Amino acid sequence: MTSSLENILKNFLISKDGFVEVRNITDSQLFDFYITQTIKNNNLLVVLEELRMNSIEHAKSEPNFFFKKESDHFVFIIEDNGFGIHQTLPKNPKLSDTEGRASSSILRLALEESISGTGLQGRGMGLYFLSRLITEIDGECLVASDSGFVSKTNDIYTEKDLLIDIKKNVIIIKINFKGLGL
Amino acid sequence: MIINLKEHSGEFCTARKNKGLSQVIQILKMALEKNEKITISTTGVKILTPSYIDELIPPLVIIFGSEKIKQLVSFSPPLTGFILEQIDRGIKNRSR
Repeated sequence: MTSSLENILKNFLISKDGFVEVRNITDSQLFDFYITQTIKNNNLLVVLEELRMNSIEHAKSEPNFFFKKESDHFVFIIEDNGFGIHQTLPKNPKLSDTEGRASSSILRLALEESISGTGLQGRGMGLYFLSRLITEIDGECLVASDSGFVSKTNDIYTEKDLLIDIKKNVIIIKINFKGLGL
Repeated sequence: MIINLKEHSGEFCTARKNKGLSQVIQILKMALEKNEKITISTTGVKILTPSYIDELIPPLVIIFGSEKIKQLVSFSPPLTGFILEQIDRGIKNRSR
């Protein structure tokens, strides 16, 4: 795996070249993609669907899904134009102190268990399960929103603030074929 | 008793606000009140998410207790991965 997720993000924000795009992906299209690519990791399907549902809840529309198959890995990207995570989390009274904090630091928090804007039990599991999946199958992920991102590679988190507000949520997942059961 | 999830919630049991969810909960409640064993069949379901499961099982744990749910409710085929984990988490959180 040569290109860093930060580079993938920067290139993706400029051009979607090289990616297969499924606009406003539905649950049915996601399942068909999973079957067509013969992916056998069911936890990945569960995570992608949970992230898709998150987009619908916050953006009120299906997100766009992108994928690229390289020689030994896949890159998946979920993009939506919904509210940023930094706008949602401070609505949880227990996380009200996150208001005004740097986007990257709030995104890092969102990868922890049960961190959500509602604070209800059982919520906030989509990004947490993504983080867990990345650990379990030795993958990489990056979550970008507003003017920051957090990435996870080899169990190490990197937080970085961007110079611009990207005005969308972008989640990048990079997994080698072995992790996908291929 | 067997509940076929696909018949009530369709092939995609994913959303917390799935239309058939309340119907499934109602059937489960009635069976649990009679101490009846229930198997929830996920045959034909293409995607099942932790969110859907979190809306289904924990409310029953609150009403009937975790022991009764563990004894009487099972899934066929058995759940695995993050979905199974969410059930365990839901039972643990609601049993405190």
